Amino acid sequence: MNICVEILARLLEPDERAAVLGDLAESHDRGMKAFREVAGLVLRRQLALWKDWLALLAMVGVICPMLLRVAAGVVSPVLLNVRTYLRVGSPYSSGLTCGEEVSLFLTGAISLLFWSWTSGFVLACLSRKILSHGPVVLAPREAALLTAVILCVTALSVWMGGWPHAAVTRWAGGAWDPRPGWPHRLFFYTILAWPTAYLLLMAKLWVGQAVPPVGVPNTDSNGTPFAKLKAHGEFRG
Amino acid sequence: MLGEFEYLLLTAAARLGEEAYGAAIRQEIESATGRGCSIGALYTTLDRLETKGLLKTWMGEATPVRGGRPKRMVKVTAKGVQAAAAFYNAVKRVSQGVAWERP
Repeated sequence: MNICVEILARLLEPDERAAVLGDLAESHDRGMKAFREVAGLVLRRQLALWKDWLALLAMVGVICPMLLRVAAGVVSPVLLNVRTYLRVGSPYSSGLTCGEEVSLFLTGAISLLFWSWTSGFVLACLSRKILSHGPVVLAPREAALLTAVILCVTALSVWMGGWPHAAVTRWAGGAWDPRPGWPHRLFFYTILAWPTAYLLLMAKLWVGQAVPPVGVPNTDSNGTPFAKLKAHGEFRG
Repeated sequence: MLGEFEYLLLTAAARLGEEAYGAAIRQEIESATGRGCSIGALYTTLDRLETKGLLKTWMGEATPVRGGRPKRMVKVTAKGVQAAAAFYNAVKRVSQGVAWERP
């Protein structure tokens, strides 16, 4: 149960997490009681993020439609196969080989995974900024790594996105070419990559500032804890 | 005007003085009121009062009894003292002439 409490507490800010877990240790609260206490605080913190209309607007207006579009792209071929199999007893013949079908699905699933995480992270950054808890950004190296991965996944998705259409063209003997052009496909994926651009920009803006990026030690370049800087009024967060 | 729990928290922090931090305040409130005080309520109220400028918090030293984790120290500001005094005086005024005896 204590492991569950530790995992749940990771949803809190680093300073708050340390203080709360310390309080629980000091008051000898363990097991289900400790879990309930931490869950209560996490719930309050998460709900507070959605009080602001801007965060809701970003979620409902921007992130949800984008992710639903990608999710539909990943899931619809699978559903089509299942539906066809149930109706006629054989899978849908898209003209792609089994390897191509699997690669296409895996690339889509990985894209969805990365975009979901990045969008969620950016949304949390925006919400925290709105709530004046200070900006939370990725360290520049992590932001660059994430961007590189998303760029690779995007490039793969753009390339593979043409496969089903190419299969139709092959099937039609070249008489019909429904393939959307590169600019069309690239535009869609570029739009989807906006959270990455935000992360990179924020990481670049906050280089050298006394803001503890997520995932790096909670000290400044001299090794002074941010908590100490905060106590002396030197902390900008 | 403060809320009831905000007043309890400020009073507990003022009573504890230099030793005011999360777990101690929680224990103080629980022993004074005889009812439970959740960590969620405590920490969100601390944030709210800090935003209003009624108290200030900072991360203190880590101690072995806390598993090497730091305390969130609390100090009531002058504005906090004023707000708590105003609440207390209001309760005193409104209570004058009322005898809370069990029927």
